[in-house]
Amino acid sequence: MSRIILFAVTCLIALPCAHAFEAGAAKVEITPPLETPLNGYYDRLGRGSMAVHDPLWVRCVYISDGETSAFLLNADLCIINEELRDRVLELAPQGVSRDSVFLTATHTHSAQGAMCKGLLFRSVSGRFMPEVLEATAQRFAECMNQAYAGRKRATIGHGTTTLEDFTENRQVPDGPVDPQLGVIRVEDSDGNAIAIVSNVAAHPTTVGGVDMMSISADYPGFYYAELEAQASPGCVAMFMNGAEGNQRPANPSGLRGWAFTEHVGKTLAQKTLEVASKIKCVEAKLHVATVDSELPLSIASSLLPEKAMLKTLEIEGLLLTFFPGEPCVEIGLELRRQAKARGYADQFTVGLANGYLLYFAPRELYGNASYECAMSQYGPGIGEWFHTEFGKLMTRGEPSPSTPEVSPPAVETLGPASRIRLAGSGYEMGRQRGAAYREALQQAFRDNVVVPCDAKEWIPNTGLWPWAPPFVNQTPLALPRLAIGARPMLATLAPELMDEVAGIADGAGLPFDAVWLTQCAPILAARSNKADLYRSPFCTMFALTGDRAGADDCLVGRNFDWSKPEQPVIVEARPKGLRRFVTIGFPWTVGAFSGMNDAGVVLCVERVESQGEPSLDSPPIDLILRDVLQNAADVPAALERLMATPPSRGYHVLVAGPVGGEARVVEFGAAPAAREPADGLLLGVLPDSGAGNADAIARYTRVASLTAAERILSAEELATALRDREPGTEGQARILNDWTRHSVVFEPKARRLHVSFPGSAGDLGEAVTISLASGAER
Amino acid sequence: MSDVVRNYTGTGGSLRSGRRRRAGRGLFRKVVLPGVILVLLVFLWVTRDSYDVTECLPAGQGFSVVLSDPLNSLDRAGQSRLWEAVPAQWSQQVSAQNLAQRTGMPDWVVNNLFHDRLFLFGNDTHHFGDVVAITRMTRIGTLLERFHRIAPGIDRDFAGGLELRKVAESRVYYAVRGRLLILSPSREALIHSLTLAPGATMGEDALSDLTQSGTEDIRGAFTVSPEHPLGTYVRRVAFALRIDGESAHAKCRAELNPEWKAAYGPLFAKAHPVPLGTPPPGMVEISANFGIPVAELWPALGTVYSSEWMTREQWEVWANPSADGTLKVSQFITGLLADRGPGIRLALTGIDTNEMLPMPLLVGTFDGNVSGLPALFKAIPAPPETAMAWDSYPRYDEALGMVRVPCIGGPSMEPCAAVYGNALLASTSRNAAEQVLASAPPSGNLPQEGNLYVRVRPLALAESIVEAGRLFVAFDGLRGYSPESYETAATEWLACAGAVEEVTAMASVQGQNLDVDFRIRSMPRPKQ
Repeated sequence: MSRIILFAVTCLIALPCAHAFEAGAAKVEITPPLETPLNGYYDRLGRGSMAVHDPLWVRCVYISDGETSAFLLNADLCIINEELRDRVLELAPQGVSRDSVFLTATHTHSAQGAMCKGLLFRSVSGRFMPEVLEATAQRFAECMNQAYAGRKRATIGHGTTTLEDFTENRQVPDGPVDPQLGVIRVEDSDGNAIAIVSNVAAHPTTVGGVDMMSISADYPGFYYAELEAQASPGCVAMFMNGAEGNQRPANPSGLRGWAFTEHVGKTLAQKTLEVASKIKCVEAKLHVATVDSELPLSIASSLLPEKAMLKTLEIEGLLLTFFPGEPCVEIGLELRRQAKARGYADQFTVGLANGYLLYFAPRELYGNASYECAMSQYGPGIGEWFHTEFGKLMTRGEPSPSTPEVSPPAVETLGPASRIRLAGSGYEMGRQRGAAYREALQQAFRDNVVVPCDAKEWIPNTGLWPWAPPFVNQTPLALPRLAIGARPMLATLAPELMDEVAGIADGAGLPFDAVWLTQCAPILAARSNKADLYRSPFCTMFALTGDRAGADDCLVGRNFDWSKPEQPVIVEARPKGLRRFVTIGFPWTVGAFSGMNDAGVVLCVERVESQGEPSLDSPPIDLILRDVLQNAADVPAALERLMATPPSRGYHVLVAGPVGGEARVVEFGAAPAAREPADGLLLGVLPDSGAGNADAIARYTRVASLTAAERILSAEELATALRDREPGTEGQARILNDWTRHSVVFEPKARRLHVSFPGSAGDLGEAVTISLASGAER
Repeated sequence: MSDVVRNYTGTGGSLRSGRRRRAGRGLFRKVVLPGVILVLLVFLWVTRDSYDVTECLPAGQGFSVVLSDPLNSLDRAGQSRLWEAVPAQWSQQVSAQNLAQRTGMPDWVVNNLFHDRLFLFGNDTHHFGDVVAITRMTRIGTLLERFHRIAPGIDRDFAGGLELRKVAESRVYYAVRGRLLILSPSREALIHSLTLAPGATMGEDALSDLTQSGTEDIRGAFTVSPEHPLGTYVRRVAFALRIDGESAHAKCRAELNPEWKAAYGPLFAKAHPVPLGTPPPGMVEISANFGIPVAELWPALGTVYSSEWMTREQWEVWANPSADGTLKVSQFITGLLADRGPGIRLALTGIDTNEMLPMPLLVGTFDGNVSGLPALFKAIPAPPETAMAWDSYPRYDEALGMVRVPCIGGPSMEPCAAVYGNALLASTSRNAAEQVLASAPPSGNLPQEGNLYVRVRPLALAESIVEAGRLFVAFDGLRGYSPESYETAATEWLACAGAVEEVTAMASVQGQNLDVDFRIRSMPRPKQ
């Protein structure tokens, strides 16, 4: 009996001790020797630092609720690079698990680089100095040891406030900002602050100009000094940056130089102290979670990791999410909304933590021609990916259901071609197509993008590119660079089409940028005298209208020529909430080179080189036509939509519909111009206009002669005309030639089209008739 | 039945055995001995040395090579450590044992067939399809060939009475004249060699030149046809080579193509063998003296390499002052180097793989009067007031006595110059320059005179290059290599490079000829 009593007493004594909240804090200087290159600005070109303005520190708060402990480290560094993280984790005190170590950087652009071994990061972080890496990592470990050694009974709490005019969006004028200042206060049993941690989203990039080569913690340096001067003696001030990808300190007063830096730091300190003074600390419960998550595919996969270390720390109702890079504010704000919806009182986004994977731009800004978006390399869905992955780590609420797997739709073989029926949202249709044509899409990317890069045909001949010695494979560098160059074309692309590209990428197991570059390959090729590589389509398109088309009122004939022998595909799509349509293209084409919708609107495009070179300011023409196709109810609406987002010059677009008189060819030259039918005939290129080349003139002259008879032409006769190989002509001067990939007769009024494909001998096979009339499938 | 002579000890009486002995002696005297003598005479007659090798050596061949002791040389060369520096299949080709294995003949047969000097000659310097080999067999070898020719696989080729043989399997023709064995893969070349008119043979003098004995294993000469890629540069090359256990030594004399020499006149016009200064230590060391200063050497080298930027015009562009009068970096460097020389020494002291890009660290020392250099350094104009401290303007650091040009990256990318003994030191790297400056200037010259001396330490060079390559292969930036295949290849490269301690070459221009002395020294064998 006495043993039982003794045991019970021991338990009663031990229980509170086991759950006692403990904390300790420390800071260790990490200022590097002069001549150490600084990280953050490419302009420094890796030169060494020349002065020390203020010292750099690593700061650590150790917290433990008796069951769970965490080392929260923050350093005056630009980033936590992989080499530093791994070395610190190696040096961490014995028994400390990697899950409990949180490494964050303030993102000052005036602290040591020299710690990145990878060649490409050295352009910004300077040469690799193993001794600097080792010394810095050693001090991180020393700081952890000191914080742990100084641990004592403590309590913790947090608070937030809204800062007015403290930050601004540097990417989009008047764009969103995160005004939240989050503060964590750790105090001892006497109420003295052990550490005060602030969290706000703003780039520490206030130091530059003549001080560009000076070592400094930037505004956090003034923040530390001010806060530690006013807080309890021994209090360690910490600063954790937030979703600062496109955030910077606002400067409404127009302060310059160190005055601005000081103002930002001191303001932050004052605001932090105000919040900290109101925080009620408790013995909180902690929860830490770590996961190495498979990232979305990246076109820069050779340069960036494929996995990311994601960590969360929960302090009672406060959720801290640690991003291994620089999230734009939109991503942080959405994550906070989701966290609060799942029951958290507050959420702090901590950027630049536990690794560095560059920027993370939200979907809506992915096509924005800005530095932040150019540096975002994991596709437009990276924001959603973080939300999902962090959602899995949250302990409160239920994670949102994951997207169900899509089984590839059936692909019907039509001789040399195939047909696929798609339905659903843009993403769903893309995913169906991607899954159905996975190999073909991957091959198209390799053939149309990677191969020209490997062959150096798409490698720029400016800058440092031509200086690379022949043994250097530039493709891994060229692909992300090309993707960045092609992204602004997304800016005006219809959102559902961008979703469809994303769906195709996911379905085909390709990075988004790879699919987008494949879409843009023709336009990229056309821009820089690469005509021989990607010969522009010399197509034939014409419409018969009015009496010439008989009772049909409008018939459209179309032969699509393409230099590459790719597999033709008929896509029958039912986009959610939009018009049904049929396009004929290739497995990789999201756009419409030839197509008709269920309102009978027909669209065809032809590249006309004499009208100019395509620009990179708008999406590829076929994607614009696709947007028109799935939206336009008639020809006037199609023309209006087409003119609202004018494609770049160098194309003729034929727009026709059930009413023959409305048909137009829109010539996108120096200024867009619409041409009407003449005598019931509307040719893609007028032979005597001087717009086409010799082949086009010969082809259209032949079309005009074949349709010149003063009689009514039927769809069958049009199909016969499209099979014409005029004797005495060769190559693309013929209506049906070796490059013809599909031939279509559109009957807009009947909502019907007849598609033929060339067989192995080059002659067109039997036509497949497709109906878009309501209720009809074929 | 066995051919072995048997001795029997009879059990009969002594008379009978004595009669038998007498009869035996008689038989020996009357039959065996004459037979033996006859066989010996036949052997001596058949294996007589009745042909002189000069009768089969044509004059004016595209190439003629002599191996003074082919089998022993092959054995010695095959055991050299230097073969560790080349792929294993190469070294396996080089051994007498391998030769025996490939011919399918025992060693002692091969030894008797290839007993004397081996002459190789022909005109096809591209594919050596008409090569003719001549060697003198031993008497045993000659006899063996007599027996061997009736073996299956040896076809007789009457060839108008020339009596050729064809080894069907290896498609080699051969003929025997006296004890000379003459072989060729080309029937025509063999017939030509056997039917030389008296005036078409190599004279005694030419033969003497070819066979004059040194310690070399191989000596020979090539006439280079104008169509051959080498024909642009040289007309005829004579060489001698010896490979020992731990070294190889080749001497080569190339008769320069006069047209090429004339085209590159500036480089050779004033060149004649001179004492060359000792270069700074490095993984690659070069010492050169073509008798012309740097400003002339630059375009002369540009002509050799057909470079568009190594021209006199480009030099002048660099040398011209800037429009605003500030001192350009290029102007400073060209001004500093223009009159330097003619003695120049360069060293690749390393490759800094930790720099922004893998940077070769080059240090050069240049002859010329250095007394005015300190004043010249001090006279460097200050950068414009608007220039930042890190902008690329030449700056004189009086404490270090060094001119530095801040560039991009770290000290390995910072060009600098200083006085070093009696020479100007210039380097692409401040670190490398400081290392050289910390040591005393090398005194004295290289032991051999010449115009260009190169020394390479392959292992150090290979290690640096492999390390640099790893940086590229890490992001798939090296054509043709994945990280795994690169490591496999690198291991092989380092093993090959590790077998050689150093490679040196000394070239000197002697009138119309270019002499090159080439040596390779292997790493010492590890002690057992």
